[in-house]
Amino acid sequence: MCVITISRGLFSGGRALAQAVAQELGYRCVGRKVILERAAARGASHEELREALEKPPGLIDRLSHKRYVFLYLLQAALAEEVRDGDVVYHGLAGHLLLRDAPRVLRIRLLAPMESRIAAAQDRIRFGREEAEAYLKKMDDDRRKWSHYLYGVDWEDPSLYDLVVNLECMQLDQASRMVAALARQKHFEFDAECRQKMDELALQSRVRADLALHPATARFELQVVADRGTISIRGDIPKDLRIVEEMKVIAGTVPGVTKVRLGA
Amino acid sequence: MVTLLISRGSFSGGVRIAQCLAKAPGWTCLTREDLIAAVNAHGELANKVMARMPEATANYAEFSALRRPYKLLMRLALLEYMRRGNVAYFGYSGHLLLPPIPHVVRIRILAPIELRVAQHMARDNYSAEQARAHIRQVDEERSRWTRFIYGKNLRDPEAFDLCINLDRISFPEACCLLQHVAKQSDFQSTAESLALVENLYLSSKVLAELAMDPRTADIELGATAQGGRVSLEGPYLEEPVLALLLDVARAVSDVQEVQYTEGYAPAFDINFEREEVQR
Repeated sequence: MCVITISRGLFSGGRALAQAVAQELGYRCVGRKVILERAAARGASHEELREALEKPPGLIDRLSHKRYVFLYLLQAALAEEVRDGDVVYHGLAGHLLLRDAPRVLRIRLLAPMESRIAAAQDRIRFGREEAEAYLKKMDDDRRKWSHYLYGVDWEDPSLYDLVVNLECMQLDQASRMVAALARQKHFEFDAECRQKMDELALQSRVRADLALHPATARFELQVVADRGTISIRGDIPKDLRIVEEMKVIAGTVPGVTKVRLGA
Repeated sequence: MVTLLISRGSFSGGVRIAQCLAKAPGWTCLTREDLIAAVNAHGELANKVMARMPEATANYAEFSALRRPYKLLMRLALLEYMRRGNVAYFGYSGHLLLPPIPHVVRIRILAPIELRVAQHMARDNYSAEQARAHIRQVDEERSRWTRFIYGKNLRDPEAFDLCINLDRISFPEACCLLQHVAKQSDFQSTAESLALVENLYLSSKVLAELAMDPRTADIELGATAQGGRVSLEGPYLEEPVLALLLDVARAVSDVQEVQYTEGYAPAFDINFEREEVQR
C-alpha cells in the first residue's frame, strides 16, 4: 500500500507511466482532473484552479494571497483523494502539494526533448518548431511556478526519491522499477500515514478558509493540525475581534474540534 | 550480464551499497582506484593527469594531450572488466566513460548532506564543521575535474538512467532496488549488446595504442569497429604518416582490417558515439 506521485515535463509519458505502475500494483491512477473537481466543490472555479496549477504567478498574484488560496484548496483535495493509499497521482506538483506528507514515493520522469516534440506534434498537430517552442515555454512556466510558490528548482533531483530517465529505458522497464520501489517496506502507507494525510487536508482547508475571508486574508499564518486540534501561528493580529473571527473561521471547518492561537 | 555505473558524492554510502551488491554471486565491484591502477600501468599516466590538473588552464595544450589517452585507457580498463561478467563500478564519472549500451545502467546516488556529514564524522573522527567543509571541497574538486576531463556537468540528472535519493530510501532499500535492476530481464545483455561492447573494446584498444604512440599521439582520431574490421576517421594525412598509422593499428591484437577515411570524429565524445550506436 503506497502513495506515488509522478512529476514530469509535458509530453514525457507521465500518464502512461502512472497507468502502467497502477496496473502493475493494482492501484488507482489519479490525474489532475479529479483533484480540480474535488477542489472546485469548495467554491473555486475550474479556470482559477487550473491557472493556479499551471501558470507562474504574475506580479500582482505574488503580492496577494489569492494564488495560495487555490493551492491550499488543491492540497486539501489531493490529500483527501490519496488518504487511503494504493494510488498513483500523475497531475501537476504532487510532490510539492504533498511535501509535508509522510512516505509518499516521489518519482520524477525525464524524457528526451526529441521524443517529447514528436509526442506534441502527434497529439496537438503542431509543426516541429512550434512544438519545441511550446514545450520550452511550458517547462519555463513550471520552473518559475516552483520557484515562486515553493522556492525550489523543479529539476533538482533531490526533490524526488527516484528520477527515471527514458532516454535509454523503455516505459515498461521504468514501470517495473517504480513498482519494485513502491513494494519496499519504507513506503508502506499505514494508519499513521493516513492520519497525517487527514491532518494535512484539514490544515489546508483551514488555511484556505482563513485566506478567503476578508477579515483574515491579509495575515501570514501557519496552520498545523494535530488530529482535530488546529494551531495557528505566525502573524497573529493584536485586534481581539479579528482573533475571535479567526477562531470562528477555523472552528467551523468540518473536522476541527479545537483551535489554538499562538506558539 | 549487467553493468551498473554508480556515481555518488563522497560519504554518500557507496561503500555500503557496494558491499551489499558484492554479496550476490558473480558480481565484481570496482572503484575508480581499480581503473586508475590500470591506467597507471601505462607510464603513470593517471598520476600525471592528476598532478597537472591544478595548472590545466595555464598549460592547456599539454594537459589536453594527456587527457585523451587517459580517458581512452579508463574506458578500456572498464571494458576489460565488463567483458568478464557483471560489474558494479563505483566512481563519480563512470557514466561518462561509455556511450549507451543496453545492458549498462547509469545510476546516481544522492545523499542529503546531513547523512554524508554523519558518515564522515563516524569514519574520520571529524567535527561536523570539518566534515561539512571537507565534503564541500571534495564535491567542488570532482565537479571541476568532470568539467575539465569530460566537459560535462557532474550533477546533470539527464546524464543518468536513474537517480536514487537516500534522503528517504535506506541503504538496504537502495541495494534491493539495484539488485532488482540487475535481475530484470530488460537489462540483461544480448548477443547484440555484447557485440557492442566487443566492438567498442577493439576500437578503444586501437585508439589507445595510437594515442600512446609518440609518432601518432598528436593525431585526433575517431574509431568504430565491426568484428575485426576497424574504421578510423581523422584529418588528411601525408602518405608516410598514414602508412605508419595503419601499421600501428593493424598491430593491435584481434584487428583484422583497418580503413582510414578523412572526416571529423572526435576520439572521445559520448554524444557523438550515441548517435553512432543508434544508427
